[in-house]
Amino acid sequence: MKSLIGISLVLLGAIATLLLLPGPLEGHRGVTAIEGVRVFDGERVIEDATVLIAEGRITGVGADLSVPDGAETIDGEGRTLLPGLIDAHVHAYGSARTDALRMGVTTLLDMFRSPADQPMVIRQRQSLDPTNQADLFSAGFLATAEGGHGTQYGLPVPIPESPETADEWVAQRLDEGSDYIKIIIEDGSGWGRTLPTLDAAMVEALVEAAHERGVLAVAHVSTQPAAKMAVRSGVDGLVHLFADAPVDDAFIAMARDSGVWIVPTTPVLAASHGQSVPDWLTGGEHAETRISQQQRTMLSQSFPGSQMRSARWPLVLENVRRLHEAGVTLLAGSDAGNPGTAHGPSLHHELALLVEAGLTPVEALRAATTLPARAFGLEGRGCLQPGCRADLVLVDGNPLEDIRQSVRIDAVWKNGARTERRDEAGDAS
Amino acid sequence: MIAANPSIQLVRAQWLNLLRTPAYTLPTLLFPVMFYVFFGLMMLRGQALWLLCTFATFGVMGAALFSFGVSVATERAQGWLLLLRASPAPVGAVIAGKAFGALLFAIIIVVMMSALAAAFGDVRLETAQWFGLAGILSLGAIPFCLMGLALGLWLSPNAAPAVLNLVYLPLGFLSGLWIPSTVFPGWLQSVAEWLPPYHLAALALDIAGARSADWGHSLTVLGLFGLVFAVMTALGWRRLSGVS
Ligand SMILES: [Zn+2]
Repeated sequence: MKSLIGISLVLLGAIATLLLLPGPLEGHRGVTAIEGVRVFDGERVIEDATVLIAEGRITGVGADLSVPDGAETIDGEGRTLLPGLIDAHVHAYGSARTDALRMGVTTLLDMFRSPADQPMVIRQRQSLDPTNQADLFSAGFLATAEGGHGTQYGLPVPIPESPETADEWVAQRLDEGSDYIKIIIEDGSGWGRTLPTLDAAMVEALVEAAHERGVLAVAHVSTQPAAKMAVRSGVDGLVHLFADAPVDDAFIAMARDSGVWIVPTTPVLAASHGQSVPDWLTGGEHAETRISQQQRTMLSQSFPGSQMRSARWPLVLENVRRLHEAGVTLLAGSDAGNPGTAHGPSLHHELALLVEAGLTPVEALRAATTLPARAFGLEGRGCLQPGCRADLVLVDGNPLEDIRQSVRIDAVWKNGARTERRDEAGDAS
Repeated sequence: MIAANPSIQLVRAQWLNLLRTPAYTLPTLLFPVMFYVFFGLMMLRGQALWLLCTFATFGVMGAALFSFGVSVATERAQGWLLLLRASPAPVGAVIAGKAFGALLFAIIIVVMMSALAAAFGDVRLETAQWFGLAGILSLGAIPFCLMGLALGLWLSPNAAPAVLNLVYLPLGFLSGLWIPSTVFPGWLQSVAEWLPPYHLAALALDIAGARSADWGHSLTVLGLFGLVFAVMTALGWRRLSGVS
C-alpha cells in the first residue's frame, strides 16, 4: 500500500508541476493611453499627442483624443514615443531577440542564420500575443562560393553550384522559410585577403530566381566594384556599405537609377576600423537596466587588424554622407552578432553615426522605421498610426533634437504589452 | 482483476527497487537534467525551448535503455528471470513492471527539465503543450524500453552497460539531441533522419511549436524501430531457457 501511495504522490506532483508551469506571457490587454507625448509616427513629429493602444495594435493617435474609461494612462510629458525600431541587418542567435527588445528594437531582419526554427519564428511574428522577444525575419542560409565568406562560422551552408541550378537553390531556401535571399559577393580584397566568391553570372541567376519567386535579393559587398556588380545584377539592396574607396559618381548614378537601398552597418564597420563604442551608449541608466554583461563584453570586442584600418574610418561616414545627399535610400542596420556590436544598443549606435554623417535625426529614425518597413514590405511595422502594431518605445527626452537620447528608454511595448527590463525579468547576468 | 495482480506486484517491486538503489536511481534522473542545465540554460542561452525538447528526449531514452538493459542482463544472470518464466507471472507483467519504472523516470525527467526551462530559460508554453511534451516523451520511451529489453536479453551482464553506453551516447549525438542536427554537414543530417531519437525529438519539437514535424513519418519510424526490438525480445526470451 505504501508504495502505491508513493507512486501516486510522484505522479500527482508531476501533474501539479505541469499545471503550475507558466503559460505564454500575458500583459495588460485593456486600453492603454499615453498622454501628452511627443510622437514620431514614422514620417513626422506630432507634439503633445495622445496614443491609444488595445488588443496589440494602435487604435488612435491625435492631439485631442478622448480616453475611454478604465484605460491605463501613462504620462508622456517631456517624453517621445517612437515606433518600435527595425534593425535591417542582424545575425540572430542566442538571446538576440530578448536583448534587442529591451532596447526598443522590435523587429530584426536577419541576414544569415540556421533556418531550423523558421516555422516557429514566422508563427510568432504573425501573433499579437505579448512576448519578450523581438520579431524576426530571416534570409536563412546565404548564397556563397565553396569556402567563401559565410562558410567560416561552422554552420554548413548549401552552395549554389551553377546558374542553371540557381532556381532550385532559391526554391530550397523558400521551402525552409527564408523571407529573402542573401548573396555574398566578397573576394576579400577589402580586407587584404583572397576569398573565393560567386561570379556575376551566378549572382544574376540567383537574383532572377528570387524575383521570379516574388522575394527580395540582397547582397553582402565590401568593395565598390562588388557593389557595382551587385547593382548591375539587379539586387534590391546592399546590406553593407563599402569602405575600400570613396563612392564615385558612376556608383551614385547606378544606385539612383536602380533604386537600390543600402544598409550602412556603421557599427560593424566601426569595430573593424579601430573605433570603440562611445561611452554614452554603454553608460547610464539604460545600460544598467537594459544591457547585459555579455552584451557589454561583445561591445568591447573588435576585429583582428581593426586598428590598422582606422585611417580609413572617415571614409565610411563620408560615403554615407554622399549617398544620402544623392538621395539613395539608407536603412539602419547594425550587423549585430559580430564583434564590437550587440543586439539593441548597436542600432542606436548606427542612428547616431548616421546623424554624425549628415542625416537629420528624423531622417535617421525613418531609416529605422518607415524605410525598412517599405523596403521589406513589413505591414504594420515601423509606423505609429492607427492599425499599426503596438510596438512602441517611450524615450525620456527628445531624440529628434539629440539622437543619442534614443537610448534613454522608459518603456518598450511589444504587441501592446509592456516588456520587462533585465532587473524585472530577474536576469542577473 | 486477477490478471492485473501480478503486474501490480511487479510495479510495486520495481518501485521499491528504485527506492533501495539510489546509486542507480539518482544519476539516471539527474544526469540528463544537469546536462540540460549546463548546455541548454547556461552555455547556449536563448535556445532553451529547442534544447528542452532534445535533451528531454536524450534523458528519456537513457532512462528507458538503462532501466531495461542493465537490469535485465543482471537479473538474467542471477537467474530470477528464468524463475519468473517458470512461475505463473506472465511475461507481460515483468515487462509492465519495468516499463512502469522507465515511464516514471521519463515523466520525472521531463517535468524537472520543464520546470527548469520555465524558471531559467524563459520558456513559456500553453498548459496543453507542457502536458503534450510530457506525454509524447514518456510514451516515446516505449520503443527504447524494447530496445533496452532486447539488448538486456541478448548481452552478458558485464557487456550490457558498456554496449548501452556505446549505443546511447553516439545515438544521442548523431540524432541531434545535443547540438541541433541542422548545423551538421549534409551527410550527417541525413544520418540523423534515420535514427529513432531524432524522430521522437521531432515530435516533441512539434508539440512545443519549435518546428513542425511529419507525424505519420516519425511515428512510422518509431513504430518500426519498436517492432524490430519487440521481435528480438521475443527471440531472446525464447532463447533463455536453452542458454542460461
Ligand atoms: Zn552580417
